[in-house]
Amino acid sequence: MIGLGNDDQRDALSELVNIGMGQAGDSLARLFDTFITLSIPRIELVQPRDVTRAIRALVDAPGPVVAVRQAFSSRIRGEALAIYEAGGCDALADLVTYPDVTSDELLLEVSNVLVGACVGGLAAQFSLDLSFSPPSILGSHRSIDDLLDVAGLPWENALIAEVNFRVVDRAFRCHLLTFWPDESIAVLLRAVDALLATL
Amino acid sequence: MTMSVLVVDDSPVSRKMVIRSLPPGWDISITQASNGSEALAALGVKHHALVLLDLNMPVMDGYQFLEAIASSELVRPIVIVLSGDIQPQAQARVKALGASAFVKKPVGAQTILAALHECGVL
Repeated sequence: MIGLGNDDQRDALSELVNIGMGQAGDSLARLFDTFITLSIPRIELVQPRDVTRAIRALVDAPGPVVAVRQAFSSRIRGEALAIYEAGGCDALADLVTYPDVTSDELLLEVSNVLVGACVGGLAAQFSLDLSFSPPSILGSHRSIDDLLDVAGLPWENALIAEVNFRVVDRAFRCHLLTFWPDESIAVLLRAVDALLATL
Repeated sequence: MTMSVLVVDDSPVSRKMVIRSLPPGWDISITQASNGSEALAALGVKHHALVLLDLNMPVMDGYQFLEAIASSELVRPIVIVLSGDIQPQAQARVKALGASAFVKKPVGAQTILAALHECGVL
C-alpha cells in the first residue's frame, strides 16, 4: 500500500492544492461577482473501508446534500466530488440573474468551474494537461451516507484533498473532494519529491 | 546594512519556496513564523523591515495580522502579501489594510523581485 511518506510530502501537496483552490475561488468569485472564503486544504490518504468515514468527518454536513461528480484524466487520473449543502443551493440561485437556468444546471456549471480550476490548477503546477468528463449529478437532497453508498468510488486507496468554499453572507458552501488511484498518487508524489529536491 | 525579513506561512515547504525565490546575494537575515500570531510575537521581539505574508493560515490569518499591526504600537514593517487566494477583492482588502504589494502564488524569483522594487526595498 502506498503512503504519504513524510510531512514534507503532505505539506507540499497541501500547498499545491492550496494554489489550485485559490484559482478556483477566483473563478467562482468572478462567476457570482462576490467574495469567496477559502478553507485551509486538508489531505488524507485513506483505505477503501475508511473512505466513507473520512468523508463524513471532513464534510460535516448533517443535513441533505447535493453531489456532483466529475472525472479527469491524462498521465494522472481521478475523480472529483463536489458536495453542496442543499439549503445553500437555494441561496446560490438567488445570486444568479438567469431565470431559465435550473438549480441543477447551475450546480453543474459551478462544479465544472471549481473542478477545472482547482484540479487543473494543481495539475498545471506539474505541467500536466488534464481532460475532464462532463460533470453529472450523483445525488440530490440525500444524506451524505446514502450518497456515499451510491458513489461506490472504485479506487483501492483514495488520496482525499478537501477544500471548502463559502460565499460571504450566504449559506452557500461547497466541499470539493478529489480521489486519486494508486498509480496517480505515485505520479503526484514523484512530482512532489522533485519539487522538494529543489528546495 | 543587513535587512531583517520575516517570512510568515503555515506551510514550511511554502516558506522554503519563498526564501529560495529571494534575490541571491541579498544582505538579509530571515526569521520564519507559521501564522500571524507568531509573526506578531516575532515583531515584538525585534523590528523587521519587511514581512512576506501568506493569507490563508490557521490561528491568525494574514488579514487579522494586518489589522493587528495597524492597531498596534509597533513600528510598521513593509508587508508584501504572497497568496494563493487571488480574488481581486482579496488584493483590494490587503492593500486597504496596509500591505504594499500582492504577489500570486506560486511565487517566482521574477515576481518577488518586481514586488521588492515596487515597495522600494531594493
